[in-house]
This record gives sequence, structure tokens and C-alpha cells, in this order.
Amino acid sequence: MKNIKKFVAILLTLAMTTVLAGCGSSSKNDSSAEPTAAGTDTAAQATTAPDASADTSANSYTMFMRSQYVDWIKELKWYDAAEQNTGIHVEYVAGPEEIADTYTEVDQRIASGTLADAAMVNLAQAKVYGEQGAFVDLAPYIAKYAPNLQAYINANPSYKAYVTSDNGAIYGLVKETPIFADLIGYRADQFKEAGIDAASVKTVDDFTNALRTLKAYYGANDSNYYPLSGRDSALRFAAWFNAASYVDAQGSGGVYYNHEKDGSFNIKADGAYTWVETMKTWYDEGLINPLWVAGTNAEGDWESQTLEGQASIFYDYYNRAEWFMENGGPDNNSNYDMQVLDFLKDANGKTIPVTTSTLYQSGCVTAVNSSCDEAKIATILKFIDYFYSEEGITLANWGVEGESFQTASDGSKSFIADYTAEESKAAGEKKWSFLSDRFTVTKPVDQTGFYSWNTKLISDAANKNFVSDNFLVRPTLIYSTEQEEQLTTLVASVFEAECAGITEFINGTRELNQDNWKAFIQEMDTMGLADIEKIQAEAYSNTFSN
Amino acid sequence: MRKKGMEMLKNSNKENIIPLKKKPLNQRIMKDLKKNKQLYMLLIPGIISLILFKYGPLFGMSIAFENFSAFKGIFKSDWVGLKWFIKIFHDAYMLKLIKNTIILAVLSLVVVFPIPIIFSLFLNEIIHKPIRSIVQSLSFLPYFISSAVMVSITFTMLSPTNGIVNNLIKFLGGTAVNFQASPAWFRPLYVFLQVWQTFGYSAVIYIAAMTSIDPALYEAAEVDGANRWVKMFQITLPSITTSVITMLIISVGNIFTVDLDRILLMYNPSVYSSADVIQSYVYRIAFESTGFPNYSYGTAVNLLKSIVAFVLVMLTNKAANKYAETRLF
Repeated sequence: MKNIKKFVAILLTLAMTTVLAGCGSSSKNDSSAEPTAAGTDTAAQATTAPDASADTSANSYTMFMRSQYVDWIKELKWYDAAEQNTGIHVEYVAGPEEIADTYTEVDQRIASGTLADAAMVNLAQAKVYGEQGAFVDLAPYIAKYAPNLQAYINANPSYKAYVTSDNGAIYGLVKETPIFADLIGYRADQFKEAGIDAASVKTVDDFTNALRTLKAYYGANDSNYYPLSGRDSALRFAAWFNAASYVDAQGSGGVYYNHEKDGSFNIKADGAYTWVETMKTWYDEGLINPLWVAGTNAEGDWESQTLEGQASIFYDYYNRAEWFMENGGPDNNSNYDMQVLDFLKDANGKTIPVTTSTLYQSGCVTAVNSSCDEAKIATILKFIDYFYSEEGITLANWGVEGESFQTASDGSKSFIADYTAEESKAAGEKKWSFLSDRFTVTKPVDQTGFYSWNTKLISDAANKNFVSDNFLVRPTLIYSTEQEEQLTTLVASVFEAECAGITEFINGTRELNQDNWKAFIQEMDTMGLADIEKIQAEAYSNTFSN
Repeated sequence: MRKKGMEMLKNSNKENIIPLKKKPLNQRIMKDLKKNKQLYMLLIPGIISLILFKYGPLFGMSIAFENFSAFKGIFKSDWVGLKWFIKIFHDAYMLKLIKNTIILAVLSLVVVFPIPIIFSLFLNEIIHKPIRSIVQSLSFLPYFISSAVMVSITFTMLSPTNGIVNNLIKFLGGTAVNFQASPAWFRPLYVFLQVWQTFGYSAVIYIAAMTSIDPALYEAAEVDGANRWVKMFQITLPSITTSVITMLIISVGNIFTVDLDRILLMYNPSVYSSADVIQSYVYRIAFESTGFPNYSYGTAVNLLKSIVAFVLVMLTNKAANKYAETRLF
């Protein structure tokens, strides 16, 4: 009996120890996992580390990337053609779904030594970890293996300055981003029914009056009808009042850092008070959805409101008007007609310039793991270099001639692949798609191609409104590591506090008057807004003095 | 004279006692290990788990004194001393965060802590055992529902457009309230969700303590003519005092540990003024950062928070010992 007890005790102890040991798998075990094939992202694969050295083939490499981007790549016909043309295959390692989580996982993979050959990082990670030895200084290898990319760098000094670290090295390659702004979408059928002539809506006052007319017409029978609605933050109208954040040779106003386009406002601007006052009027008169102002109107809520007629106008992503037309609008209501309003004008009839995306952005940067040997680095660079060649630029922006586009006698290109048919294909199905605002590979963007790859509704609106005179100047700033560190902490508190304060003024929690507004500005300055503006102005000076 | 004689006898007895020679410590340890070898073997996994997962990670806190880099690791990152702690005291926003955290923590403690006690006292009064079991099981159930689901259910019910609560308010002639966007409603809603999710689980501890109360005490009280209220307050409650104080000390230790998941699910620009707490701020800096993530600063803030919580636990333990003659350690 005693022996049996002893045996059971030993057995239990061994079992518990084994279970415990199994709880923490070693990085050695992790690294023996197979790399994930493109597009086959699962939760398990997202946490499975690839073996960077497993594939020793000179014509392939592994790349860690956000899972959604891997899915997109898997669907692209032009991407397959690019792999075929270069003879290089990329094994994608799918990361998390959220972009911020993807960067966090880069940290974890660096710490555990399980990073793929190449990885999608942000520029700060590329520079800081690069200087510490985690990433390869690509500058000498670009000169050696990537002539097209080298030519691009030479031709674009602002790109060179943006990606180059303080020590002169290039640890990450930034993609180009299309330059675009938000557009105002409106229900043309509801405008017509309510007796509004869309062409007469030219100024902010016209816009407000149109909201009032719609509210009177549709709100009479539906207490949940608010003519203006949207998703995420409603604080996106500052530019209409000349109150967007900025940085130039004279100084800086508002949070410009990471808010060049979205969430761009400057509470110290002359028009800022009028902006908040106008939004308060919209709020008080029920012209804007209060849930949106509160920041609690989810994307799905906004979509259903706009599809079901509980909202008539939005100011959102440039191709959203088309989205509503393609995602149920006319299916439920044959009269449903979403159109795009021209940019608003000021009292003098001049188009009010709006904020735009910047050509170079700090996210979606490609960095190369320092554990790669020269052959692997060459393979990675040769693949990227292809997208900077004339053939690669055409392929990634227009596709294959005769299949997706045609060239006119004057040399201009036009798509022959049907945008709607291609973009409405089921997820996972191969298609032609040239939505260059999405990250696929590090490449330059053909703006004409980007605008053209849309339905007529959007491409017409883009070509008409997206001209340089209608855009505010959004310089790409280069921040030092120390400036970046300071801004990260300051913006984390100041921007949220600014949004909260402005929202309180709009919804009436805090009385909007000149004294309170001045006190609010003072509070924000004390909190660090003045410091942010100072750092941004210094960064501008450093960027453009070089 | 007699006293002197007694003392002499005592001394002579002492001299006659020959103390046994104590064996060396290592031999005593070996003997003990040999004797209780099976028990010690059972202890090994627990000890390993404790070292690996509880004490080991504590060394990771040293990144609060470093410019931590995931590439360099804990041992090779640059040492910056108290840089991040100094920064905390220079951070103008920190006061607001501390204030919000403390208000939320105190509300949680004052409102959430007594409810399971009251609930278990009343549950104990239910005579029919099956009904008592059903009520207890039902109260326990929300503990297994995720914060995301609970917040979603609450906000659906409170929706200003079609929520049942606002429909009722409007039916009674009132005006719809946007609970989700009201800073004044944030804290009550947070506490309500906390109570909803945890009171059944916490009550189990008190119910367990009540089962060990001697039934003879109740019988004696009945003989003395005590009614149910008297029995509840004079017998049941004093009998579970030790459990209550133990739970109180644990709750004080967790006073700054707000439910970050719930906060992140509930907060929006309208309620930042009352919803932004230390943890949500640290989360923004370390995990939502668009620049280089500052894990060191986040750790420094949390370390400082833990030290304050530790001091509070010590003070509560001392106060419990002084006023209730019971203590956790």
C-alpha cells in the first residue's frame, strides 16, 4: 500500500512537472516552425515564429506583415506576375489583425530572436533597432543590388532624408502613399426630395442650411434622423475653418505629428472658435448625429444609418460614396443615389483647402533582419527594386497591358479591367486591384493610376477636387529619436485631452464662450501642447535646413 | 527560608538535566527531507511555477530604470536611473490620471466590496436549499462572461436611440440620456458592471465561511428569542469577520488595478475626462504608440502604482490587527 502511494506521488509529480514545462515553449522550439504561406493567416500562425534561416534558397525570403495585408497580397494578380517576372518568392508570415499589434509583435519577435528575413515595422522601430544592430544598413546594398531604387533615392532627396538615420544609414524602406483627401458624400435622391439643389451648396453656411432643410424634411417623422453622420471622430471639419494643424517656416500650430490628415486641428487658429461654435450649432439643432460627436458611433452604425436613410451626408474616405452604392444602397431603395459634393468654398468663392495624406508615412516600413547574409539581402532588395523599375511601376499601378489596361496613341493609359467587377470578387479570389493606399510592397505610386482605378463617380470627383491648390501643404517632417520619444508621450495625453475638451464644448458639457475657450487653450498649453508645437517647429527647421 | 530552599531545588534540578546534543543543521535538513520526501516532491512543481512565473518576471521591472530596447534586452539596455520616475512627476497629465484612478478605485472598493457580503448574508437566510443553490449559481454565472460582451449588452440596453432603458424614460415622458457619452455616468456604469460581473464570485468565499459556523450558536440564539436579523448581525456577520478582513486587505492591494479591458471598451472622447486612468495612459504609450514604444516609462508608472498599493496593504493589515484583532500576515 505504501509503495503504491509512493508510486502515485512520484507519477503525479512527474506529470505536473511535465505539464509545467510544456507551458513555456522555448524559442528553439518556436523557431523550428515552418514559415506561413501567404494569406494562410490563423491565430496560431500569427504567433508561430518562422525560421529565418530555414529557406536557404537564393530566390525566396520570409516577411512578417499584418495579416490583412497578407490577405490582400494573396488576391493580387499583378503581385503574382511580379513574383514570376523576378523569379523571387516571398513567404509571408501573417501577424496580428491590428496594425498597432503588428508593431508590438515586431518587438516581441526581436526580443525572442524569431523575426523573419524582412519585416513590416514603423520608421521609429527601423531607426532605433537598426542603430542597435537589429536591422541591416541597406544603403551600401542598395547601391550594389538595387539600381532602380538607388536612382529613385537620388532623384528624391526628401525620401532619402526621411529614411536616413542620424548615422547616415538606411534601416527601413518607406513606400509612397497616394495623395488624397476626404470627400463629402450625399444622398442625391434625398436632396432632390427635400428640395435642395446640390450645386447651390458652396459654402459652410450653405452646407449648414442644407442640413437644416434635410432635418426639417426627414426628421419630422423620425427622431433618430440626423442628416450628418460618420464614424470614428467627428472632429474632422477644422480645415473648413482654416483651423487645421500645420507646420511651416513660421512655426507650428496644433498636433501635426501623426495627424497630418485625420484629427488635424489647431485650437489656437483664428477660425477654431468658429469651427467649434458651428459644430455646436449642428449638435444643438440635431443636424449631426450626437453619437458620432460622442465618439460612440461605430462604423457599422454609420453604414446602416446611411444605407437606411437615417443620415444623408458624410465626410469620409474618398471612395466611400461608391461603397454605399455597391453595398446595399440601391438594393433596398431603387432611388438610392449617393453622389459627391465639390469641395466647399469660402466667402470669396475660393475653394477651401483641406488636409491630405502625406507622400511618405512612418508606418509600413520594410526592414531587413541583420541575421540575413548578403545573398538574402540581395534577394530582398532585388525584389523591391523591381517595383522601382519602369516595368515594375507599370505592373503594380496598371497591371498587364491588354489584360488590365491599354495604352492610347498619346501614351496615356486607361484601365480595361472593370473596377466594380474586380473589387466585388469574393475574398481570396484572384483579381486586378490597384488600391495603392493599401500596403502591399514598397513601391512608388502612380497618382493617375490610383485615381483612375475607381468608378466614374469617384474618379471624376477625385480628378476634379484633388488638385494641389485644394490641398493644404503637408510637409513630411523628420524627427530625431529624442523628439520622437518626447512627442509619443506628449501626444498620448494632449491629443486625447484636446478631443475630450472640444467634444465637451460641442455637446454643452462645458459652456462655449471666449473666456472658457481661452482657459481651455491655456490648459492644453500647460499639459504640453506648446511643447509639441515647439518640437514640430524644430523638426521642420531641421528637416528643411538640411 | 522556604523560598530559598525552593530556589536551591530548582537550580539543582537544572544542573541535573543533561541537554541532548543538537544535530548539525544539514543533518537535520537531510533527515527532514528523507522523512517527508513525498511531500517535498509534490511541492517542486509549485515552487518552480512560483519562481518562473511570479518571482522571475519581477526582475523585468528593472526596465523602469533603463532605456529598454527589445533588441538589447533587459541586461544590455542603457541604464538611465530614475529618469522615468522623474518624468512621471513632471508629467502635467499625471495628476488628472491619478485623480481619476483613485476615484474609480475608491468607488469600486466602497460600492463593490460590501455587496457580496450583503448578498451572502441574505442568501444564507434562504431556507430551501435548491432555491439557494439556483440563486447562487445564477449570481456566479456573469463571472464567466467576458467584459466585451457585458459592455456590449449594457450599451445596447442603454442606447439613446433604441435601448430599453431610454425607451422607458421616453415612455414616462423624460428625455433620452446618452449614458455612453456622459462623463457623469461613466463611473456608475463601470461600478455597476464590476458588481454585476464579480459579486456572485466574491460571495462564494463568504458563503464558504458561513458553512463553518456552529449551528448550536443559532439554536442558542433562538432559545434566547433572537429573530433572523439579530442572528444575522450578531452571529453570522461576526463569524465571517476574518474572511471579510482578508478580502478587504486583498481589495486594498488591488485598489489601483482597474479593469483595463472594461475601460478601453467604455471610453470615448466624451468620457475621457473621467475615464482616462493610469492604465489606459500606459497602454497608449506602450502599445498604441505610433513612434517608438516606451515600455520603460509604462513600467515606471506601474511600478510606482504597485509601491503605493503595497504601502496601503501594509497599513490596512496593521489597522485590521489593531481594530479587529485579525490580520492577513
